[in-house]
Amino acid sequence: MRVTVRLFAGAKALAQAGAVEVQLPAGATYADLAAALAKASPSLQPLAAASRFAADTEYRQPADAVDAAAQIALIPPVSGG
Amino acid sequence: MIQLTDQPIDAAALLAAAQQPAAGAVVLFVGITREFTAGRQTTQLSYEAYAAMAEREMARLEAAARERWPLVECCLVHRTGDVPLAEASVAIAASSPHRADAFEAARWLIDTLKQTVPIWKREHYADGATEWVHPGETQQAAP
Repeated sequence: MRVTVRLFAGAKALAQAGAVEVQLPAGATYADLAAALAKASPSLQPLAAASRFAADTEYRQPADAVDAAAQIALIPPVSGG
Repeated sequence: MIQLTDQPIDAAALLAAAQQPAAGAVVLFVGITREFTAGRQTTQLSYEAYAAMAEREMARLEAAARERWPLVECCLVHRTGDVPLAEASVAIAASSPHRADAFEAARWLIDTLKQTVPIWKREHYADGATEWVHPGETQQAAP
């Protein structure tokens, strides 16, 4: 399945793109997505370990299955306030 | 009440909203743009939000705070875009019948907001450099 990952803030700056597309096997998890994203966009490496994923505006865990129909976003460490 | 806005935050209006007859205490927290961080001079901050998710997380925080403390009013407002020195980027107003609950709730709300709400700040330094703030970011290897 083909997944589009939205990027924000420093991740968008590192990748020089607002989104990255990656190809995943069926049944892939967010941990698999992180690995695929690291391969597709090596420039994201400084943020990779500390970032989380969200699907349809909800945080997801690494072991959760990726829902290709959802809007998926990479959430780098937040710094609001 | 939660709000994301690209306009200046009216903290007096939040205070007024929280000042209800059922309350005996109002705590107002305002986070503002600081000029010096670790000796480095900032000229302004700019904030980016994943708006739909930030609003949802802020609403979740309000609901969780209301469940945990007997709050009369609970307002969270965060500004996006450029925030000049000394202006507010975030404001929280919590009111409760007795002061301990309002103090605890306001403290918990700002601490948790800073950990979970998808909003990011970018430093604009006096020397012209800019930098996204990502706590926990690993250093980029030298090219």
